[in-house]
Amino acid sequence: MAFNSFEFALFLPVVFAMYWFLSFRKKIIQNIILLLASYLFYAFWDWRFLGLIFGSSIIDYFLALFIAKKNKKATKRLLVGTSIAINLGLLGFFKYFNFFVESFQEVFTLFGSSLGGSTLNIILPVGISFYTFQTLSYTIDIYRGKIKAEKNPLNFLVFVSFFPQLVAGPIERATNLLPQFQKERTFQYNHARSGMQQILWGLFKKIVIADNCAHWANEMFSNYGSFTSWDLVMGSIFFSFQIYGDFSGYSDIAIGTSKLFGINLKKNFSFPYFSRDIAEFWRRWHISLTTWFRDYLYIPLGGNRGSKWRQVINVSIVFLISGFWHGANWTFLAWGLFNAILFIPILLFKLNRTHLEPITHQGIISSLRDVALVIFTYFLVLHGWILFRSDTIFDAIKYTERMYNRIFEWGFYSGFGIDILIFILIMLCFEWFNRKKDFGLHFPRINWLLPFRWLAYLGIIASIYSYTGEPQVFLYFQF
Amino acid sequence: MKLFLIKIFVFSSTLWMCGFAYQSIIDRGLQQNYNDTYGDWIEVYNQRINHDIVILGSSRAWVQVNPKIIEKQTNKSCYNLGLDGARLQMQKTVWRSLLKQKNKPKLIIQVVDYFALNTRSNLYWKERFLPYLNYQEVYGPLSVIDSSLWIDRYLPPLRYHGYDDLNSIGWKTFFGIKLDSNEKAKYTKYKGFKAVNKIMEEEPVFLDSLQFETHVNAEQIAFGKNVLHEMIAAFKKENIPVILVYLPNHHRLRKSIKNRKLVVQMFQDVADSTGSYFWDMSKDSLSNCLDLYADPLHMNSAGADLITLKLCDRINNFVKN
Repeated sequence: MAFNSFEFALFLPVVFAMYWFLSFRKKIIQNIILLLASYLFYAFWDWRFLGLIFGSSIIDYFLALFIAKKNKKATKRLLVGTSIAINLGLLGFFKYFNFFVESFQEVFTLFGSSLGGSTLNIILPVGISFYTFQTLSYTIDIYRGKIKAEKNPLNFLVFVSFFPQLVAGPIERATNLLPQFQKERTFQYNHARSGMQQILWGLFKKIVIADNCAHWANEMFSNYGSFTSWDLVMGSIFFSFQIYGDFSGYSDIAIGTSKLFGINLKKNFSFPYFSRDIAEFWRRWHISLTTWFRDYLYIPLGGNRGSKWRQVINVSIVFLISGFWHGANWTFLAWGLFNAILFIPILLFKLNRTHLEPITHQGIISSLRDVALVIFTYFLVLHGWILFRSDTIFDAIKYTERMYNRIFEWGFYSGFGIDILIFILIMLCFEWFNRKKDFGLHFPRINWLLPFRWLAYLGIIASIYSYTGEPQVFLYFQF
Repeated sequence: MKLFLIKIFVFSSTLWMCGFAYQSIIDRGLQQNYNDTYGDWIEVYNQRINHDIVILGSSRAWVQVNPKIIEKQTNKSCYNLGLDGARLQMQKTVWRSLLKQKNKPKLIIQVVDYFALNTRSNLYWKERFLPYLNYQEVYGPLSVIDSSLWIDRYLPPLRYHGYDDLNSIGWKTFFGIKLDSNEKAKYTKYKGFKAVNKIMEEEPVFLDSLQFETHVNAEQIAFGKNVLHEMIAAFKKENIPVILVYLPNHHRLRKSIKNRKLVVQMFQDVADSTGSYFWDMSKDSLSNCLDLYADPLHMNSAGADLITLKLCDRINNFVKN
């Protein structure tokens, strides 16, 4: 069930009502309701994979208990290794099996011989990349002694399958989420109100921005040969807002929905298109994945310690694996490499922690230097998105080549509407004014502003109604 | 929690009222748009179907029974309320709306055939019903076909979601704003009848190999029987006689239907048990003439005129007796 579906519009209030009115504030009942709701939510995609989630959760639950129980370092290492092998094995099988078979076959064909072996008709279980990373972080944290193993299986099962973040994140850490299921939740008005606002903002970004941008991005990336340079520039801009509206919109709805149940999820996006360098961009884009790779891959590899050469290797590994995490395609690997190339100079000149505060954190108007940096960073990111969106690396190169070869001839074939650009501008304005907050839809809490706030909410709902784009599956479901 | 629920309720109510107002404007606007989609509904809901004879049925009725010829041949006024793509369940919307009128017709010709018994799981050409969904006689029968129709009825303005053209036309018509050229549509029918000016180019030999045996099953036949009983009973209550008429499909199509006899017998049984009439014209010699058909299911304008003339003879005999 997708967040922008009618089923979810019915599902959410029913679960909300059961959770607060039938649980009698007992945490066990609250968790049972959440678990059942989460499994039902997942079953709407494909009930056959419920067994997979349940099975992998139970395995990690027991492995974690054993890791915590054993005193010998070697045994602990063996157990955490088993957990990593099982989780990555599942991910590898469902997500990458066909890719590796096909790639090996292609390599052997290049050398004039053929390799046996055939691909399987494997369906990718929705959300597998997210929940395997979540359970992996849990067993690794127990191995590292950062948290205690959860003894209550119910708490652990809800932690893995909590429906708002089950299929597309944010990838939660046990240190943040698990303790919230260990105590009873009480309803907090401000929290719930903020949740509703965040859901509304997420829906706006998904339905109005992402789905409308998708139409033009799909058109131009599929037929880039028939468009002008400026059309293709717009195509890449549309894709950049499609992926942002889609994924950050999903995260907003997930976080907002969790707030309705008294659960706080981690912030996943922090206005990344206002970043002034690529390092800042990666601190603000898909934060839960970036920090996951930082904590469980980059730092164990040595992080910033060691020689410059070692740091370059570490960063490259992280970006390549991060790219590959997004999907079994060479384009994602190339995208990872592209970002590594952008990031390495910043790291080598120790400029990666220059912009830690939000842009213009004191005041409203930015300096020209900051504006130029934001535009330049966005320009670089845009080229990464071309790699990310194209079907093959060859297509990405051709797209970019065509985008530039007549850049001095102004003109458009595509005839995209000005309305979508206006909506993008509106979104950016909201996000600019709220860039120090958790999400883009905040108004000053002044009583006399209430009618205007409500008017703004009605306006957003009206725009969702009037400018619904062709419904697209959330992009990150395929990862 | 109380404050949260109150605010949610107040906000939802405000939203609902705004949506309702918005939707009502479109409803009213479209209900004033006299074109091929809404013209006949406007006639019905403005009490203007005060004709002697009313034709009901699916697209076979709509394109094959010409009221102009009936009026000329029988000296009785006639209106065709055949509904394109409508099976018997969908046709209920028309006759139930018709029965709400003050002036009732004196005779109903209900065109029936094998294909009207098939049950659809989706609402074909839904937009023609949208401005009238608040009327129970329209909503009721359609909600049986589409179980999610309650969303369109009770959650305004979702019924017009995705119909950008209807949103625009409805608003403009309501506020008297000139429609764009692509939004303008005229009423091109004659009292509901739409002639098809097209000739089927080739003999539909492909039908010979088709077997429509399972196209309509026993359950659907029983369902159709019930709907016909319900309709005839409703008209009978108002002392309006109903004649069931099976108009000719192309002969190859007719022959490809293996359980046709069963269906024809059902229509006869319905007529017998309700004291109404069934005229089986399906084997009429016109069904052999390729150039009288637009497609195997529908006669073209020439075919329609000829079959209507034959129908008029029967109506005249019926009226005399």
